[in-house]
Amino acid sequence: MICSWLAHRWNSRPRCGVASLLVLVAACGESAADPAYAVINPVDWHSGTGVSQHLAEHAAQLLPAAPPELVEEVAELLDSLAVGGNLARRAGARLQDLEADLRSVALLSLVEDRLTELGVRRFAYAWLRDTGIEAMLPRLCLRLKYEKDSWSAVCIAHTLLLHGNGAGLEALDNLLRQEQQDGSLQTARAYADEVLALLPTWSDQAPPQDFAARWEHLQEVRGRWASQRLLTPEEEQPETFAPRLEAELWRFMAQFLSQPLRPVDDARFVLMRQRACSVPLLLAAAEDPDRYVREHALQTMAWIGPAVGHWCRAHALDLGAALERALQDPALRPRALEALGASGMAELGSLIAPFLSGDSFEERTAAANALLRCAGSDHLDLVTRALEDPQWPRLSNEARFSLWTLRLALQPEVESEYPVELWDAVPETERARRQRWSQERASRVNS
Amino acid sequence: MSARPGPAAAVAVIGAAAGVAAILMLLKPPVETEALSLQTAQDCHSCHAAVYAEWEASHHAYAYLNPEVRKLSQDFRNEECLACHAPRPVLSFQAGERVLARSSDRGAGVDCMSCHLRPQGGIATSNPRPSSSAPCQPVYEPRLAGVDMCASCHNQHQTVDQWRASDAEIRGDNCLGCHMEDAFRAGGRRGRHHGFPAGHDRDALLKAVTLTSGSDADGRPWVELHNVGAGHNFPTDERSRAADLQLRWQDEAGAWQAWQRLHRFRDPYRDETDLTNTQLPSQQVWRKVLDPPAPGRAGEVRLLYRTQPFLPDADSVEMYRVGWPQ
Ligand code: HEC
Ligand code: HEC
Ligand code: HEC
Ligand code: HEC
Ligand code: HEC
Repeated sequence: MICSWLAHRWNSRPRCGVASLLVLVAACGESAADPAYAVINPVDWHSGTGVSQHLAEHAAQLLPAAPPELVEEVAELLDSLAVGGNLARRAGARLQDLEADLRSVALLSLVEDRLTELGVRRFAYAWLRDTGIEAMLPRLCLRLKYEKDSWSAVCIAHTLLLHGNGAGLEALDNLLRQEQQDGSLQTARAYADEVLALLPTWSDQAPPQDFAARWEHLQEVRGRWASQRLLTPEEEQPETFAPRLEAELWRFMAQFLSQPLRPVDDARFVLMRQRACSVPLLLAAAEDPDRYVREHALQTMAWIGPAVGHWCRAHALDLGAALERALQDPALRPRALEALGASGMAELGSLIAPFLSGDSFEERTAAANALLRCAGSDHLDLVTRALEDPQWPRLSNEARFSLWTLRLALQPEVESEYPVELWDAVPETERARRQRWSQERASRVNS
Repeated sequence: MSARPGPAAAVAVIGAAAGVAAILMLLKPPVETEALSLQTAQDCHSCHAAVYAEWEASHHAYAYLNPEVRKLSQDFRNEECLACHAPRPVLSFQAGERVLARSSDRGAGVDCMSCHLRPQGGIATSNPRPSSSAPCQPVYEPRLAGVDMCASCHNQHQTVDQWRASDAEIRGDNCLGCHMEDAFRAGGRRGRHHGFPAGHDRDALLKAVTLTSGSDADGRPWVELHNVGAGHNFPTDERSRAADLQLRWQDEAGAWQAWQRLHRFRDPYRDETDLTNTQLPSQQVWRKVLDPPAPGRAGEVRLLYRTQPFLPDADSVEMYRVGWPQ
């Protein structure tokens, strides 16, 4: 369901309440602000539940902190494993005896510590793989960002796969593509090949026999994970995370409050690599009282892309309605539009379209980008008008490039090229981004 | 819809009303701005050509197109990097808080709008009595010339904290005394140079430190590097910057031997766990007494500045060279 406010906009492209408010304030003698940057905020965000509150509600489920003496002991035990013989057997037995939660957090602390020696780190990853509890997944997933040892990266990918998460497939793919073949890389590649053989298969598909077939299979599974956050066509979009896993995800979400960059970057890295039942969590965070949390949550959704759409489709969630408040806030609106477009749901095109002539430059760019990612041929007319009508509100070069790219995608049969001035005015990086979005249209969620 | 502004709006209105500027604004005759759509740096060009040219040659204008940045960000596929390299207007965030990325005109990097666009409308100026007829509607904004303006992007590696900890007389009121020199604009108006010279500008580098040398009572040579002119550590900010003191001696036959590193001034990357931060804080001196291979042997020390630590000597900037016997 779309709220009346949006329906109103839709029909008449009015200067909505937001704009008139701005005009009111601006009447004090200052020019009207570009509403994308306006501090005047018509949406009262203070009533929302904040991430810290969500986190507090999950406090009982959170993983405990690892006691330092335990971490030290586990490091020594792992070290003894390398020695072999009786010592190793005793160390293994002691590790087995540890309580599962504590063992997992101690092992996590070890792999997270840059100073942990490589040998110990590898054993720690292997123990996490074989004995780790599910709630470790978010923190383990973050190691994909920092782990430089190839064997360890494969082990992370393997562990994630065992828990139904394909975030490590990219690391496998990268490793197998590498040309150079030094010794340590070879061990890692041999392990990666073993993991390929363990990739899930589905009913009409025979398990791949040779490397070439396994490679092809990897590409298929990787593609499905990228676009749907599923590993096989038979899997269903999960409804929710297990409570303890969800608690850990809220822990990362709370890092969106951080002013230093790294915790925010880490949180986005982890949250965009979870199964698609992260959507309701991100939608809740998109209503947070804190502006940065709202921004980062919407941006994470946009980075996840079409998998958001697939999840919404599977659970009959109206994403437009869910982001209604975000769309009402001029400061947040561009991010909301981007999240809508990135979901690749064709029917959202009509919700996004009016914003292409919206109040602010930035908003119009976001709308054009969003249309490129989801709109179908029913919007060809609008796109052409926006590009050709001299009365159309000013569009950025990026916006025009998005619209051109969409036009080319919608009319593959028409021979046409970007105008030279436009091509030259848009940085190569942004042209490439729009090419990627255009290619991603193949995994759109068609109505 | 009832026109009930949220708390943020109330604060903004009260805040503005409290300022003298706001009262001046109320008295000001209305200005015709319909035709002027100020959205990109290009839109300022026609009227502020001199400022535009200075900015265009600066690293702020280069922040998005810079090949070093493109390489490290995988051509900005890593969107984390957009925030400061193609930001939304800094004034639309709280003072000193983190900025976020924009979607339009990214190629212009840290552009005029990033520093000058006010969320309440108009263009920020540090001039308390801006021209009321200027078509771009300049409005007095004390934040513009404040340190927090730079801190949003430049405190990631503590440059602003280092500045806060430095001596009052060198530090000045803000960063602009050293990074925005006076420039004279058409009509005799005093302006500020928008080139922001620093590590890519040899003259700016030379102002940061002095290298001196001598011999102690026992005739042993010494060198001293003194941070005399940077209101923060040397070299500051970007972790990739490195300044190396190198030493070489002549052999018995009088031929120069190879340069060896005497000391590196640098804030290491996070994963270089074996290294510590060896930047030279403002006003501090690094001194070393040297051991020549034989008494009286000729030697030289030079200071090389590298924009990244693996840059070959030949591509680095030689800032100073001193030698013995003197
Ligand atoms: C149509 C011409 C025009 C355009 C376009 C224009 N300005 Fe101005 N601006 C002026 C004039 C005239 C003044 C008055 C001061 C002067 O004589 O330079 C002024 C003053 C200013 C001042 C205040 C200087 C002071 O000392 O008070 C700032 C800052 C400024 N402009 C920034 C900008 C920026 C940033 C843009 C682009 C977003 C811009 N201007 C676009 C004409 C223009
Ligand atoms: C918090 C703001 C901020 C973010 C986010 C940011 N940068 Fe920067 N970056 C800066 C600032 C400020 C400088 C200038 C520092 C200096 O010159 O010493 C800079 C300089 C650089 C330089 C050096 C350019 C040169 O001329 O040598 C590179 C390379 C770079 N950044 C890459 C990146 C990459 C890659 C990312 C994303 C991972 C990123 N930056 C994210 C603020 C940021
Ligand atoms: C919106 C973010 C942002 C703001 C605000 C900002 N800068 Fe920068 N600055 C950057 C980035 C990014 C770079 C590096 C660009 C590059 O080299 O790619 C940079 C580069 C610089 C440089 C180095 C140029 C060089 O040669 O490498 C100096 C000096 C500088 N800024 C000073 C300042 C001062 C002083 C202020 C406050 C008035 C300021 N900056 C405000 C982002 C910002
Ligand atoms: C990194 C931030 C930054 C950027 C980018 C920037 N400015 Fe400025 N600008 C300032 C600051 C700070 C001052 C005020 C200096 C002072 O207190 O005198 C200023 C002053 C001015 C002034 C008045 C003084 C003068 O030199 O005439 C004008 C006009 C101006 N800017 C225009 C522009 C234009 C046009 C652009 C883009 C081409 C631009 N600025 C980009 C920070 C910036
Ligand atoms: C007393 C003069 C002085 C003051 C005050 C000062 N700087 Fe600098 N700054 C320098 C000099 C000289 C250099 C060149 C040497 C270096 O890289 O440390 C420099 C370098 C820089 C660089 C490094 C650019 C690069 O190429 O890597 C940045 C960024 C910077 N300053 C930002 C600031 C900011 C932000 C402030 C205010 C908080 C400030 N500076 C205050 C003199 C000053």
